[in-house]
Amino acid sequence: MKLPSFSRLFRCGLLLALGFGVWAGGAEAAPWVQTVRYQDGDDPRWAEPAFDDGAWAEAALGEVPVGDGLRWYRAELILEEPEEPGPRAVVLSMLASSEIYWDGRLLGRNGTVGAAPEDEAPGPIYNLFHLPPELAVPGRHLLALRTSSWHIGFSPRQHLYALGVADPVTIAVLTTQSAMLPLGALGALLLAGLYFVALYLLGRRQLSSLLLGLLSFAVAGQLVAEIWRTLAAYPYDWHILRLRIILGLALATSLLLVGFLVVRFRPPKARQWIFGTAGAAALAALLTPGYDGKTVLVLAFGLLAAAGICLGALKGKKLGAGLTAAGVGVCLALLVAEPFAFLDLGLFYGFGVLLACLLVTQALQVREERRIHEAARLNAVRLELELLKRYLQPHFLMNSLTALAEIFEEDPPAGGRALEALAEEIRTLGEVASRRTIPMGRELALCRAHLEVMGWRRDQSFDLRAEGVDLERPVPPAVFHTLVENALTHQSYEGQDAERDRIVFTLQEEVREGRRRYRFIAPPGDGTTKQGKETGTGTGLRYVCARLAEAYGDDWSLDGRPGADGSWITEITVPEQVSEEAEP
Amino acid sequence: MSLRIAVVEDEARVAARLLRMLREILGDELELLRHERTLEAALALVEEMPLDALFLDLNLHGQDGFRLLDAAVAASFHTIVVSAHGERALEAFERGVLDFVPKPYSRERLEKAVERLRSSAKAAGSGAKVLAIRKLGRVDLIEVDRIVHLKGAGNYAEIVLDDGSTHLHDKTLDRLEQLLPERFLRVHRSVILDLHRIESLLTHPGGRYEAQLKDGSTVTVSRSRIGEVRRWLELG
Repeated sequence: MKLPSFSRLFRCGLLLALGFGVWAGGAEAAPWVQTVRYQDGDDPRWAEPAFDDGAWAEAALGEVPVGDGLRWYRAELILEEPEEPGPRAVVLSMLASSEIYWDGRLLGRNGTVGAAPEDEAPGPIYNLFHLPPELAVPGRHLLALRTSSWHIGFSPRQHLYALGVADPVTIAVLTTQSAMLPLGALGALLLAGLYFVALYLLGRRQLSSLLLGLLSFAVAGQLVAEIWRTLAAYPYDWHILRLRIILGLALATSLLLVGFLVVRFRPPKARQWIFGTAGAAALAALLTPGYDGKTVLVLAFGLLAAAGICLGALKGKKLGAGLTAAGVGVCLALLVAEPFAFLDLGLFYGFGVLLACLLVTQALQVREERRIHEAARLNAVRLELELLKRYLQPHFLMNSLTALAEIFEEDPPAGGRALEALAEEIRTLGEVASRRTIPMGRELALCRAHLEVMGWRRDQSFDLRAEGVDLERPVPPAVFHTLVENALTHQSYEGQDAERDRIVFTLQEEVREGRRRYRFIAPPGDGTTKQGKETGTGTGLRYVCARLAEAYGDDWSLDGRPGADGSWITEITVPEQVSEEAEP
Repeated sequence: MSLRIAVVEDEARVAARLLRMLREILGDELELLRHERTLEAALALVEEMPLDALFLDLNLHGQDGFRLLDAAVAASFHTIVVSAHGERALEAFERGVLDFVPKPYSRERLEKAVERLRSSAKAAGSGAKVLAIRKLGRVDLIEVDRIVHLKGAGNYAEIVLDDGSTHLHDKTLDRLEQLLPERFLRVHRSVILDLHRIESLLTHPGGRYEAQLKDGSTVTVSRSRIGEVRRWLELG
């Protein structure tokens, strides 16, 4: 069996989707009217087969211009002997109210034809009129239509879609069959839409998920609007409403598609992509004649912008760019091949493929983000452990305990105070270690607790002076504490006269040009360097950098330099404002 | 017995405890007690006056600490590590420290370390695995398993290795004997021998004894030690 060409399949599907029409050679015996004669005005004699309509205008069915007032149509039909006996019906699909005459006999009414708008009751866009067996005899017959279309509301490309005689059972079967594919697609689209919107609402509020969910709904909406006509014959004056809904949904589809891709691939000039598409689509919607034209152009602009974003993403080797580009490519190819057919089956095939690609890339993205999220969580746990370990490390703990033992033996009350300071430092550390940020006031308390412990250990007096420091400002935990600790580790202050000198560290904060700058100044040491005391291991600084990265991403800097007086200055620059802490 | 001791500890309060306890434990035995904040300063001190022991605080967390420890154990004096890193004791013993006092410590624990200094008892642990020697300003490590015997040479010891090479160690034979594993026995006033290397014992007329080593060489064994050597060989 030879496979039908794509174009033929497309056209066939399109016509089936409409439920009826000129299925070329499809319904063999059913005669369809190809051309009609028409005349504005009203005269009961125009229903008669004997009337000579030679003076009337003649046009192919799809090319009859719209007339809003009363109008008559006449067409001849030849009924042949049917291969199988069965019911016959006159099929009419038209944007008008009508009375239908078979050989001069009134066969039925489609709504109420009126000489004035207020007299007319709009009939359905599609109707079947049963043809009694005694009338459906083989031979030549005359079909006459008395119509009015006061409520059409616009100038459609076509308003008389189909007129002929067919087997109503076959029509019903074809209609149902043709709706199955769109209905299946509709279910899938609604499910996908629900899934991604729910993912957004219940999950991590990713804009891309929301946009993809809404995009699925928009395409689903277009599908509904398309199969509405097939499944339910609405009054013809609703047709304009339906076309407007389709146009609106196409607009939404285009913008959501571009919006999703912008969020997903973050191209440069994101706004220009969105506003450019919106502008082009709006112009197309306003200036193009005919709703089908408007809708096709609106979708075309959305797909073109999507293709542009995809090309950029492909160049940048972004995750899922290839798959997305393929989906957009399929859509564009279908659109270019059959612009108007694209509004029907193109939506199922093209957007079906495109949405499948987008769903897969979104799933890939969600997985990638989950991986990054997991990595961040692991990183947070690692940092927490690193910080806690510092206080379980023998060098800190055992030396502190040794010093404590000595203080207790020398001066028990002082031993109590020293123990208190150590307990305070360890307690605070345990509380802040798992946090991403803590208030600066807490950080300063931690620094001072450490200085007090070290003071007891070294029999010296340390202090930390805070200048212009906002105590409420969130900062990553134990960053300045680490700087204090590093200074005490790398610099020796033993040579100073403990009685006279108070060794003062300074922390300054200032905001300039949108940046918040912290300057930590360690006073000059006594000139001797330390040995065997973690020199050069850099674990402290690595911790500081990792914490800054966790809290500020890439948006921070750390810089160390010697001061003029031999002090050591560490500068940390961070954004002026930081989003609130998201607790893990 | 009079002892000359230096303490290397960079934290005042922690040093104060060690100095106070040493004073209390040693009393009149203490000829000198110096506190230095770096090992460098303590080693410079040795240039001026000999030391018997160094109580050394090192952060043994990284390689840096062990490098410094090697410099200390290569010196003539005994090294007693006083460290927060109790988990590193075994490694320190393998480098040839006389004792390892983990922080925080009681006076009783410190007394034990001092007792090792006073006596000629073996160091705690199962003995050094490497000996650090100073050579042309740098410190080399010799594997104890390669040592055949050690000979006294005044205030130094001459180490003879299995390849016949000899190396001078700044420590006396007495101090090295304390640090080496059990199988290194003083077979003579001026010789320490790895008993595992004995092939047989030779008895010469006149009550002279020699150990015939597996490499063919011989080492004199003194009459007072022959019994202990025999016992060791029978057991081993």
